[in-house]
This record gives sequence, structure tokens and C-alpha cells, in this order.
Amino acid sequence: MSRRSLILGALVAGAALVGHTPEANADAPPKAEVMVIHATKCDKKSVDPQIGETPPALGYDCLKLVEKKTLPLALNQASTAPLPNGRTFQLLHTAKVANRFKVTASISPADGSAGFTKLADITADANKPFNVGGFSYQGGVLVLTVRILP
Amino acid sequence: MSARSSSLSSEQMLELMAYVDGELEGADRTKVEGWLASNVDAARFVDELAGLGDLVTLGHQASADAKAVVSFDIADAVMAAVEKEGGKAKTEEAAKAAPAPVISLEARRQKNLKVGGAVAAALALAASVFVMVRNKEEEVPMARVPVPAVQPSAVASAEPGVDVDLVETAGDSVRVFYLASESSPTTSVVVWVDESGGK
Repeated sequence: MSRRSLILGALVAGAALVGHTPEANADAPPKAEVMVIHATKCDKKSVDPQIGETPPALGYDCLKLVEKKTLPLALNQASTAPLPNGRTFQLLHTAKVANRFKVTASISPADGSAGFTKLADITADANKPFNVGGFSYQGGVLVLTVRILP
Repeated sequence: MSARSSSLSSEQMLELMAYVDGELEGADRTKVEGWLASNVDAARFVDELAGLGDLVTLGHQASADAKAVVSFDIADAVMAAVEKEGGKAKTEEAAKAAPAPVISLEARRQKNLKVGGAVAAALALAASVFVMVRNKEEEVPMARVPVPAVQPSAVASAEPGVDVDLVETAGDSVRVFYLASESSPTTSVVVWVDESGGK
């Protein structure tokens, strides 16, 4: 076997190993990082530095991070996160197409009754945040910033 | 230009051109006028070059040596030259000179000017249409730039890497907003539930 063939073989084997590693990780279910933010109207604008990239205020200038949660996103299995206002936020991972994740966002009724109200079907790139908000809480609203982590 | 003008040297032709353009004065002008009085080829060249036979004639009226050119007639001059040469050359020159059509260069220039003007106008029109179309095409992405105003939408674009389809059962209180992020140049997607007056 020539030296050139050996080098070529080594390169092919290395590429196969490198290409195999992501496949192994792809089997792990993605996760959703959820930041629960309390947004209030105030005279002086204030954003909690823990929030990082500031979500759109929509008239609420004071933003405070309440908590940060991580939800597993197993395919077709709903993940829920209780919110400080007593309601529950739910994400259902329904599909993954071309490295984009399709989820359905739902919220439990404000009156405390059972079940969930579907809000939207969201298709998001990995690590691209989207926001779901407007849920009344202590004179303001809750805004959830969601980022899907593959 | 006629074949007879080829008997002139290139320097002579240049000076004759300068004369036609009115660039010569003093001794140079007098010299060229001398050529025109004595050289049929020079006179013919100037006449064809400028297409202004009358002007050439008038110019020579001011010269004392230009009497022969005052009533200058191209056909007569050519025929006289032919007579001088005689023999075989005489026949050949006559054959060359006789069929040469006398064409008004001024008229040809006017015609060319009109054609050129039409071509230039067409090019200008095409250029203006191109610019208008191009500007119109370039306006499209400008309209896509996120504006501060809140624009609710039931189905939104994938510009921020997020697509949202509202669920019909969610009701009218749910809206999707695509807003410019305050801390980054990207667009943020917000699914907003209007619960004003709720819990």
C-alpha cells in the first residue's frame, strides 16, 4: 500500500469518526430553556442584567427575571412549567424538520380550570429565542423567553 | 472623401481641416488660401470636408490671389484638370471624376445628427427605465426592515429564524408581534396574550 493510500485512508476514517459524533448527540432529546420574566410598567426603565438579550417590552419598561427553567422536549410529549401566577405553561415538541423544531405552546386557563389553551404552533431554529407573554401577574405581566437547545 | 484628395499630403490635409474649422490666421491662412487657389484637390477636399462650398468661396473673396476660386465650380475644376493630364491618365481620371456623385455633406450631417439624436434619446429612455425598475426592486427589502410600530400578524415570516402560526382556537386575544430587539439587531417574535382585566 502506498503512502498516499495510507494518508487517504486515515483522512476518510477521521471524517467518518467526526461525522459519527453528532449523530450520537442527535439521539438526545432537545431542551427548552425558559426564562420567566415579570414585566411591569414603570417610570424609570430597568432591565435585570440576568435576562441578557432584552425581549420586546411592549410598553412594560421594567423587566425582572423571576426564574429560569429547562424543559425536556421529547417528541410528542408535553413538558410543563408552573408559573408564579398559578398557571402552567406547556410546550409540546411535535416535529423536527431540517434542524428546525416545531413546538406547540399552550397555557392553562386563568380561572384555574383543567386543561390547556393552545396559543400557537412555533417553528424555531435552534438557539433562536421567541417570546410568549401577556399573562397577568402582580400589576404587570409574565413574559416567557424560550430558546430551544438541540 | 474623393480619391483625388489622396494627392494631398497628410500635413496639407490637417491644415485644410484647421482652415475649415476657422483655426488658421495670418500667414497660415494665407498659405492655405493659396493652395485653394492653385490646387483643385485642395479646394475639392475643403469643399467635401466642410460641405460648405459657399463659405469657402466667401473666404477666398478676401484674398487677392483667390480670383480663380471666387466663381469656383467643382465640376469645371475637375474637367480642367482632366484636360491638362491628357492621354491614358486623362481617361482614367475622367472616369474617376465623372461618376463621383456630389453629395451635400451638410445634409448628410443633419441626417446623421437626427439619427444620432434618436439613438441617444432611446438610450436615455432605456437607462431611465432601468433605473426606475432597479429602484423599485431595491425598495422591497427596505420595506421588510422591522419598524418600531407594532404589526400584528397571524402568520409571520421566518426572518428571525422563528415561524409562528396562531392556533385558531386561541381566540382574538392572541397576537403575534415581530419587533426590533432593543439589545440586538435581530427581530424578536412575541406571541402575546392580551389579558388586560384578567387575573
